[in-house]
Amino acid sequence: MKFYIRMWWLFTRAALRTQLADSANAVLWASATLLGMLLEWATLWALFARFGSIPGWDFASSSMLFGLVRIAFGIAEMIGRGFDRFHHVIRKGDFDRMLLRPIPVAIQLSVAEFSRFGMIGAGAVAFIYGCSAAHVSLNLVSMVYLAAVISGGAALFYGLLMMQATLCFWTVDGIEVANAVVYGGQTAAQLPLDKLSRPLTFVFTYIFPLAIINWIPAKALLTGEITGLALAAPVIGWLFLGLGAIVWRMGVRAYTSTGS
Amino acid sequence: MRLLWLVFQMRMKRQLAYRTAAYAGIVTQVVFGLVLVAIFAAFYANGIKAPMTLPQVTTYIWLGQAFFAMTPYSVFPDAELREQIRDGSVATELLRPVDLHSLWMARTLASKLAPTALRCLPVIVVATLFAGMHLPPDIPSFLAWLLTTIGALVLISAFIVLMILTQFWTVAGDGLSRAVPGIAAATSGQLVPLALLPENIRVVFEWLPFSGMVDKPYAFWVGTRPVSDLPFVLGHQLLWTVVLVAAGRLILGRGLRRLTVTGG
Repeated sequence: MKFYIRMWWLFTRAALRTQLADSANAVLWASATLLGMLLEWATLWALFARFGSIPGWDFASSSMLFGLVRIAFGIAEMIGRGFDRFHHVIRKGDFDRMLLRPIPVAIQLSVAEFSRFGMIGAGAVAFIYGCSAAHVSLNLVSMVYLAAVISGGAALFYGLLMMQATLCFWTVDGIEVANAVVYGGQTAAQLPLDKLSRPLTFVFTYIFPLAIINWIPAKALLTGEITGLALAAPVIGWLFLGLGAIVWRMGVRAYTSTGS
Repeated sequence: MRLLWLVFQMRMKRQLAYRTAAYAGIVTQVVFGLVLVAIFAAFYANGIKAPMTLPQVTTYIWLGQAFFAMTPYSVFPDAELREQIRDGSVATELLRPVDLHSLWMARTLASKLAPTALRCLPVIVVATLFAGMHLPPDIPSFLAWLLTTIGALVLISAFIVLMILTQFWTVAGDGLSRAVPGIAAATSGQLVPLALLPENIRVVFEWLPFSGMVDKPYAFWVGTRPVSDLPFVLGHQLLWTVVLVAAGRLILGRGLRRLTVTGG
């Protein structure tokens, strides 16, 4: 285990060095993403400005959801880009090379990339704004809870990225099914769950439990009562990651290379 | 010209080979469409009067899903081009007796058109039958939409090639080319139809190139833009295409001048 962590750190450090060598790129990326995300947030504001609040839901609480889901996804992407880009690895045949190394491929793919700061930053801005506008007072308990929720959300997305990557073993290029839940989910997560149609509610509760890790905790923070399902939410996120890891293992086992 | 046509055809063939991706894309688009429609329905339930009716917004959203593969912020179409600049094999490309910018335009056009062609019809059919999408109000509107969609395709390709070219400067990564599409998404009308934005913001977005990629063509189909606007919209698209192509050529010229391909 210690060896694996050390290897992961070596890989990550190497990746970090590459990025620092071209820091202009990283800064550009982060600031452009930040701007794009803030614009997206602004369109949400425009909708509330035009139509007014939806019963039981307003721009402040929607901002909290918007922020929360992006912070979680940003963190997952930061360590999960390898899985996200996995179809390139498969298509070029690089996966065979990875298999030859005496380190689990999952660790090789988990190399952190210091990106997505733009997304996380924009998420944080939106979330903090939402909290203050909705008069959510964060005390020690809710801060700890918040950290757990964010970790659970990141775990949830990470699990999904792993499943998405697993699909590549069969489809080589078709990885977009996962995008439906990743990006569709991020959009859906901005609204209270009960405002969505039945099938969507079902998908985002039972199949890809994004609502549980996003909407339920946000509601708990808003009301100040962290009980029941809200308390279980982070655990559910981590369980989903476990599921992702199992699926991934099955995929790796079933993998057969091509070529002579 | 014939050569570019061949490049275009080859690219089309390659893209069409990945059918699973297209079918998967259809599922994605339908889920996404359902989510967006649900969000707008929730807002419209307030009963506030808006410049677009809910059926119009619904149609607009589904158009956005049907033609998502075309937009500059869908999955980057041509990772190979990016890699070429990064790993230096762009040098080989330079040996070819073709104008590089035109070559890349042809490639990009094809890699945008093929996935769109595969998935637009199924999405439109499903959405029209089951999810409240409407057909254009009349034939002139449809034709205006068709023409401006072609205009949008060219404009989008010019934009993407420009984005790829920025890599001559930010070599290791794909920083700008990955992030700017996010800005494009917000200002093009893909997230919220421009007509629903506050007036002063809308006016600015209307002038930016991105509205010509999404909002302007869609408005013809939806019927919120009169057919008499056609010359203006085509002019807007053409103008920006010329600007983006010129910028792309400029960057390419400069990039090549300072390009040193590493290696023996």
